[in-house]
Amino acid sequence: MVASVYFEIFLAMLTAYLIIGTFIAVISRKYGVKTTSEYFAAGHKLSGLLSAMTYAATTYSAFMMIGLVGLAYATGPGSLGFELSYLIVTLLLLSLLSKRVWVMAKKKGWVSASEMISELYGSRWLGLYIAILYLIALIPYTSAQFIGVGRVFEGLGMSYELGIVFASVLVLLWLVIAGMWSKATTDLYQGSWMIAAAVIFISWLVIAYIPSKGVTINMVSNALTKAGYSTLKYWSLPLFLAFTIPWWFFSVTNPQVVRKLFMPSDEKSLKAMIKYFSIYGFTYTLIVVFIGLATKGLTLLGAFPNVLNRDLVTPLLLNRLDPITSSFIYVSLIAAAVTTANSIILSVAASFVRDFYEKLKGVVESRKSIELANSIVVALTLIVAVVAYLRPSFIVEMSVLSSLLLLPLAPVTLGGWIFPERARTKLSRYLSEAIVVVGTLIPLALAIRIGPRNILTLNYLGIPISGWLLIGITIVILPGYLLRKSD
Amino acid sequence: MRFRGKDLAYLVTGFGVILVHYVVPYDLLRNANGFTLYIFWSLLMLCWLIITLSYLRRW
Repeated sequence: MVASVYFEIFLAMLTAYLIIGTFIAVISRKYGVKTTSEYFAAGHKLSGLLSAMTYAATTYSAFMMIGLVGLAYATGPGSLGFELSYLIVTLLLLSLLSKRVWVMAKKKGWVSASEMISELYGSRWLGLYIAILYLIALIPYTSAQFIGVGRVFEGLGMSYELGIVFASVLVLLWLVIAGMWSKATTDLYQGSWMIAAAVIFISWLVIAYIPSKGVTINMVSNALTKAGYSTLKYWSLPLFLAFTIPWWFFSVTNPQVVRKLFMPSDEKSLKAMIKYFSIYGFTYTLIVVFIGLATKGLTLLGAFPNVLNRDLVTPLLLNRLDPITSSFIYVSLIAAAVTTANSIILSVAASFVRDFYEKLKGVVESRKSIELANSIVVALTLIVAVVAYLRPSFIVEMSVLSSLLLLPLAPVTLGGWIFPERARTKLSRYLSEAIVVVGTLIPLALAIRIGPRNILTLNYLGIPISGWLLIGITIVILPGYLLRKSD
Repeated sequence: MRFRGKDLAYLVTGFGVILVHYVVPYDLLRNANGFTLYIFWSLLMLCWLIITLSYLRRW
């Protein structure tokens, strides 16, 4: 009886989420989608708030509420250092370079990240290679988002397959209705849902749940100290570096966030995007890690079961909430997965339409391009859904590998952004083409040899493989920037 | 690309923040109690946020 009430409330919440989101997506059609620039980049006309929320919702996937809560629970405060190192470097890069990228994107009409690198280096071949690289590196990661939705459904007594179908329909619907416009407006809605759910979650934990167990925050703090969970005992420095370095350049290497720099309507909106995103990211991260740490304290005090599978910490906490609030938070997990998934699908589709169709064909009809864009979005969603349905063992491994596979793009992209006139020299072009291929083949070869999970933590002289990759690639492309100013 | 004085100052400050982010927890706060590390990283990030927002104001 209780389970059935729980199920009905969740279903009602999910239906409300779907209807409101679809209504927002349909309303967004008023902005008009007639060209691929409008379809993929909202015609470079997004407001500051829309830009910030689509950036935040895309960046913060379901990993935060499930994976990071679990990581904090299992390994202590090092998880906060891990997540905040990403934010520190991202703010540095965005604040220093985004204006420059935004000006170039407006001038050249960029809509895809591969097109951007291709134009920076004057190499069409590089654009094609990177488009394929995005597909290989990011489809498994996107499937992992669908798997997350399937598991939420499964956990609430519905079928896993229904979750995959639901995620697919939502991704398709909110992309096909008005492209980036429907994506950005629904991201504002979903991002708001995610942060509201996080605030409600932590408020319940601190104000209601912890006191209900006869426990105070002080007692939690003391328990963490006693058990050694207040230190970095689970995070040796090489491990911390191995986890953090690949994420430093997430904002430069991942097309779903790089493209967001092209979209603000003016400089004021770009500035607002960075400002609001930074506040959102900071708040969300602190909340999520605190939930994990406080729950660990409760476990140590005997007020919460000992959770061996860390991905179950959040579901077990949510089981202790009333059905309305927990359904609200469960739907926020689905929202986080959907926003990340549809962003990646749109970005990969943008790369294929621009680099494989429009650039090769020259003169194109906008209507045909948009039809092709929609077809690619449908095809990619189907591929992601099928992979999620089959749940092959390589999914998790490939998701882990994605950050390393895209890492070689970091020095190449940064070089092109900072010295665009030098990037177009022949030497720069050849070196970058060669190093992007070699740089992606090295982690792939190592992954086959020793396994993706192991290469992430593989280190030499205390520096992880990601650090050596960055150093090596930078050394290789440097002559192209130093030897000749231009052809 | 040429960095102006304030850009350079922001860049150097950023490198300083990254250094502090990595060095202090593994050195001074090696035996931290309770939420000390959590509070340290939160405050460092808050400082960096304020520096970034004031840098953006003068963009």
